[in-house]
Amino acid sequence: MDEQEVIQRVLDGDTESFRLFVERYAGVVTRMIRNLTDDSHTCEDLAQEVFLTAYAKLRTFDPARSQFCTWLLTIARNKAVNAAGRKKPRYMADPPEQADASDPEMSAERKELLAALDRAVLALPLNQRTAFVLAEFEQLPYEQIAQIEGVRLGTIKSRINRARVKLMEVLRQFEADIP
Amino acid sequence: MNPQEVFDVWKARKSQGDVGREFTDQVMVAIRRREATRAIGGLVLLRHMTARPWAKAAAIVIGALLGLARIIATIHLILFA
Repeated sequence: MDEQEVIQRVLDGDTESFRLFVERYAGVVTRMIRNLTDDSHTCEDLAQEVFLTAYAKLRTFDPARSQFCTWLLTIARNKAVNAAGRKKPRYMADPPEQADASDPEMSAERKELLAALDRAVLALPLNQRTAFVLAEFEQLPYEQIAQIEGVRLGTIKSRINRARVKLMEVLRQFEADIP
Repeated sequence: MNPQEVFDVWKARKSQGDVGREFTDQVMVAIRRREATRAIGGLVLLRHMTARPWAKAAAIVIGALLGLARIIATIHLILFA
């Protein structure tokens, strides 16, 4: 079903139609928040807030200005950035939990490198982190990221590039450290 | 160990992970609860208004003024447009 049609239905009082948006975008919204805040415990609460805000503000959505997905991800981005800004950086204290997750076969070196990459992403300035997460993890086109971030396309390209350079430095450092 | 390979594994891991169906249900419950609260809020306002004669009078006056303003605007449009 066309998204604009669904929006109209919701605005006409068919609340249940909003379920389609939640089902369609819950994954990307939750992942994005988790990757930006590095908080797998509260990311679902924050994602729920995103959908509630979108529902409450649905009347303000303008299809002429952006796609629904872009609008929703902008709300998610703002909430995640606020949460990440409020949060005390954790990367100095203990490694993020995703890094050493679940795989007992994984070598210690490999785990260490994954943890180092996690730390490197969290150490990025927020604007570089959001651009990098949206481009590399969510594979969004640069134009859409520029809309979400509210900046020019060139700025996004430069932010992503700078983030990549920093992560490549981490990789190179590992290559140099490990014989 | 090839660091580039690990980098790709790391990226793939970060791109994974979905939410369960219960997440959608939770969101829909929260939305319905909010709608119900709003409806109750509207009813409470209506009850407050009907319980107070001055509130009823104020609503009638506001309605009359809005109606009058609209009539004046229409006349103005017809005469000066």
